[in-house]
Amino acid sequence: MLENVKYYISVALYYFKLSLQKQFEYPAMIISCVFMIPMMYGTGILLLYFMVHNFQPLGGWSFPQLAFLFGIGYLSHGLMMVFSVQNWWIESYVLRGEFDRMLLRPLSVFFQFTVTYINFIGLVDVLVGLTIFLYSCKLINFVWSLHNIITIAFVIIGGVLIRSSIFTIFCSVAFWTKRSESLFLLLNDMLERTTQYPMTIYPYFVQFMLTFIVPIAFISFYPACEILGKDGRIVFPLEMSVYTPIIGIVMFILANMFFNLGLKKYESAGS
Amino acid sequence: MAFLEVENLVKEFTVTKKKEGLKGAVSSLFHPEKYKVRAVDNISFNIEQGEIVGFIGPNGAGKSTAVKMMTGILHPTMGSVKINGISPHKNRKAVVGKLGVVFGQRTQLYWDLRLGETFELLKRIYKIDDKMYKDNIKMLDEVLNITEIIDTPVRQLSLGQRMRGDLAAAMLHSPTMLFLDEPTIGLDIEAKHSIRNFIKQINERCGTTVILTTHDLGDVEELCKRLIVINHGKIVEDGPLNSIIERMAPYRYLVVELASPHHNLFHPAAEVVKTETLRVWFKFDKSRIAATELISDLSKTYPIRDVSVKEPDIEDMIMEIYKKPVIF
Amino acid sequence: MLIEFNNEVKGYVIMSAYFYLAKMKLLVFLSYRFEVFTSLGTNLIVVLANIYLWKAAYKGIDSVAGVKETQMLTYTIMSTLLASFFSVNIEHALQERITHGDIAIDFFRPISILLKYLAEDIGIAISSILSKLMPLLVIMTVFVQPPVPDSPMAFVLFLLSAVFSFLILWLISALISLLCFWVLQLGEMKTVKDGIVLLLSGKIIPLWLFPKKIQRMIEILPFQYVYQTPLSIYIGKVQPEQAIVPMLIQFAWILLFTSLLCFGWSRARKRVLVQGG
Repeated sequence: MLENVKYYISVALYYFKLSLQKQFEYPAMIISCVFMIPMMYGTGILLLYFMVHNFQPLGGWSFPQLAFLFGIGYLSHGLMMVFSVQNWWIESYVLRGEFDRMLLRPLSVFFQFTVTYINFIGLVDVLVGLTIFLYSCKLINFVWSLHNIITIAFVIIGGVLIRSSIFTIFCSVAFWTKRSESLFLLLNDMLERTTQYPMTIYPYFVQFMLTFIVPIAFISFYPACEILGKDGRIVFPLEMSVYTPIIGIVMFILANMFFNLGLKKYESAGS
Repeated sequence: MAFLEVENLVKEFTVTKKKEGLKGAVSSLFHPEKYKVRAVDNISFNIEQGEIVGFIGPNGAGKSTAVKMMTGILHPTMGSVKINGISPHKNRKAVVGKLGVVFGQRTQLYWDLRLGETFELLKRIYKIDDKMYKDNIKMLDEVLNITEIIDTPVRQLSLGQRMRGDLAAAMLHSPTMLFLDEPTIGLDIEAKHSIRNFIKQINERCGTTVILTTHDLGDVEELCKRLIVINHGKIVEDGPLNSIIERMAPYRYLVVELASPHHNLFHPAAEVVKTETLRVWFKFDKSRIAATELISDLSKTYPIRDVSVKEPDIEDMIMEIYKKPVIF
Repeated sequence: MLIEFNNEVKGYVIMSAYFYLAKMKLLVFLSYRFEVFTSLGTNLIVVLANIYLWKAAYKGIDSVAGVKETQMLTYTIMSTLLASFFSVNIEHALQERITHGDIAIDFFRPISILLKYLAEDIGIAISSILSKLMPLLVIMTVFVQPPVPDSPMAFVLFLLSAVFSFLILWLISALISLLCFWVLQLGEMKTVKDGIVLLLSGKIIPLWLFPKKIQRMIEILPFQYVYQTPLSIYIGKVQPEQAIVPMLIQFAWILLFTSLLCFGWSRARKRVLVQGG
């Protein structure tokens, strides 16, 4: 067992090393991302600021509260960009037959796929998210108690798992349809809009769907509601933040199953 | 029990038909038309340990699809594959750890990084211990001169060097079976030679079973004692190279050198297939007429200086396969 | 006489060559049925989220900076429609040809490569009227509100201004891709540009919500003429009689960028022909 874990870790670490080396081969890419990413997400937080400033709190959420919600959501987005951006490429992997290589190695394909690339550029996202989050913590006088720190950590880990799993499940559609790259963009936009604004500005059925069908609301909305003491419209027993990591793990297992189901349909095109 | 057993293997693909024109494009948007294609159509064969078997056939015959099913990449629509008694589709990890696979048109090497980095990764994935790794690198250096390119980024390697890298990567974990899909495609004579030499060497030294698909007749002549010929997804021929040529091309050529130019050469049992000024090629079926008989007939009517009989080569055989009508 | 005739035929042939290119792009695009539906979905998500955001912002407030809620919703809807129509692929296409060294061949072709890309982009833009713009418009009209222009005159001016916008955006992209001749591996300049346009063009946040000082700084730049100018005319934030000034500025930007592009292009051409790529 321990031997096995050591084996998986050593393989994963070597993959990480290779992805780091690969990215340093393209410095222009890194530099432009360092400029672009803060700009893209700066627009999101600025929009909220100007709206509250020129109009009123949105759905009863003040700017510091909105920034807190935005920060939690964006942190898990950043980490997702680091660890599972390759979901984006499932389509091209399928079209170019890149899964052949993974299928030929005596390791779980899902494991290889998960560790095959670490997008270190995504750390820029994490950094931007962290800045917004810490800034909002100051604005709302967040109490840095051990309980709160553990809560935030679990919420973010759960959020990353939920996000990655949603992408894996939807992008695996490419195994059947040969297409899913544009689905990645669609999901990315959807996740952005639903994790950065309070769900309460949307109709009830949207929130219902995003709670029980695609559990996006657990990434940032419900945890933020609880920490900030806001009304989340739908009420659950137990602490809200307990659900995020649990749902994250369940989603991850589902994603693994769905991916493997798709792999059976893999046609190894391209040569 | 044979080392590799392939039984009634079938693979079907679903293809979407694109309609023509603007109207067609709009209608395909809502009602795509689909139909099924059989890429591999019920093939069965066994391969014993230590064999080198050539898979040949025209483009699109189903060679690559068959190889991909044997290596566990593709799931068959019907039928089964067993390597050493284990199915790569039911127990993939157990089987592929003992396989080496190289696709000539593709590489498993990391494009941007030095060749050695891929080796290091494979060392970890296949749990190769330090001693075996060292021994294998030494062996691969002897047959492929691998240390000469190990520190070069893969994108800077020539096609031949890259293929050497790919072959080495496939052999690092000492597989018992090696699948090569067009390993010599696009290479120059020297590179081809070194790759053929490599295949021979590892087959002799390590007893590795080799299956290779190729369009290169040189590969087949030099390496394969046994051939499997595929066309339209079916096995057309399976056996030793010589006997296949015998069966597929049961004729000989008689090359006649004339003393003086002569037109309208003719013989009822042979066919003139090529004429140069003083040389004429007759193609004849040896079951209809013996070579000696043909020579004596011809020398009665024409001024003949010299004759020679030519065996059909593998190229002639391939041509025969291409001409053969398909029976569904 | 003969020469004149030849020129006419040549002109016709070249025109039809551009037309053919545009049509081919349209066909290729339509064959990606999956992308047609997902991009519609993406646009819907973005526009609906923006609409609910503005609705939450306007709750109980009549107007801000002279803009009412219905005007703002129209602004958002039209902004998404414009964005789905503005497709620019020249950077990607040109960069590919430059890095592969194919560009040297293009300088010897009878049709200008720049016009070829413009024709292709126009082809895609026209095809997106059918595949993206119309479905969005129908859905918005039925489920949200019909994005009605402020007046018939506003609509006419909007159309003209939107064409200018497309040209400005296209020229900016062309100028950026021109940099590829000097700096290979320019990499992701396109995404940086996209980020700037997103923030400073009024595509998402109208610039009148920015602090006054920043507004004045942004006015010097060409970006607000890509989205905000036509959209403000459409919703009546800028009345038709006031529209002439921003539209003249749009035109001035087009002239400036076109001359820059021509100059840069001839330099690039010389560079390629002298150095052989």
